[in-house]
Amino acid sequence: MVKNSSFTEIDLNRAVEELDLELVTGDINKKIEGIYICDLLSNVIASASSGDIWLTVQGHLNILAVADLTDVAAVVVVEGIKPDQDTVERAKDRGITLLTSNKPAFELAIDLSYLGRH
Amino acid sequence: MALVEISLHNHTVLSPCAELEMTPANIMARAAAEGIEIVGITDHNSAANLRAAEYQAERFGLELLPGIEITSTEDIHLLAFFETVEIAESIASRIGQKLFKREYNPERIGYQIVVNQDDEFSEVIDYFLPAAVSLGINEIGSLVAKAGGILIPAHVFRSQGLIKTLGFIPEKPGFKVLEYTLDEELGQLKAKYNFKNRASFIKSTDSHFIDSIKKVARIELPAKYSRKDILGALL
Repeated sequence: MVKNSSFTEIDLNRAVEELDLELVTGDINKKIEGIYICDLLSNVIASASSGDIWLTVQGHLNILAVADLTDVAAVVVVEGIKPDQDTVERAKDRGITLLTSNKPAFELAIDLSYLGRH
Repeated sequence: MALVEISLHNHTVLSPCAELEMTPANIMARAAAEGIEIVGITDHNSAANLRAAEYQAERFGLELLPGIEITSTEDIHLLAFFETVEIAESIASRIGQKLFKREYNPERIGYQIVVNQDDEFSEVIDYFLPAAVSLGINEIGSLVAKAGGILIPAHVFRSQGLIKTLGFIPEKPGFKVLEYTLDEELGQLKAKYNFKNRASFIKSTDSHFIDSIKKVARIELPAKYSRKDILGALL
């Protein structure tokens, strides 16, 4: 979990543009209030906060239920992993913001954290 | 001895992912029509619809196999089966104490509905049942074994399945049977893994809607059999 006390909200739009995030589906005109990293879904359910950007290597359908439960602002599938086609279609139906990044979660979090402070 | 059709893994309306048509009566009616004799009911981390399922199974001349699909702390789905509904309920209550209870939006994820004996909706569970319990697979293994039950890892090659999640089959708690849902998966499994522990496989439909309930597996049982015989035959 990366929670930095000096982190202030950032525009997802800006993050997408500056950090080469690829938008798979969903709205990016929103704010990110925190960064959460975890691949164990049960742990994400217990610990992610509403408004977080959630970074994970999981690209299967269950991430959408977790995104719904936790009300995260966006899900980023990292390390160049492509979410399953089912996941993409369902995310579209449900209006969940789904992005991908070629970076590992740690590197992306550092970049996001930088944006959140500048 | 005869081969008896078994449908191991079925979700009722208590599971948020199941269709609202999946009431115990509808499930048993379809299973009977399909020529299935033993029906496992396995809702996520709960036994709340097993009593109704047992009543409905009897109405249709079927045998209920009382079960729970438990989510371990490793995010692995495990099917636990027991001799009686009462035992399943007592294990479900232990599991329930270890469940992280988070409210969710049923409009998006699906309602979790308890039904009464007459198949009527009687209660809605407002926390997300399929979340993980704070018990590891070994702890769940001993809990189930002490209750005289058996544990079968569910859909091992799919997400939240044993092999997909861990990448291997752990030595403990000594799984003897693994569930799979697609024949292609089994081919992949056998090609990829060396089954030192000689695990065998059973196919299921992991049904969440009525049309998916079909004959896919059979076990050898005496002409007159008990639930204990079923548990024994599965291993």
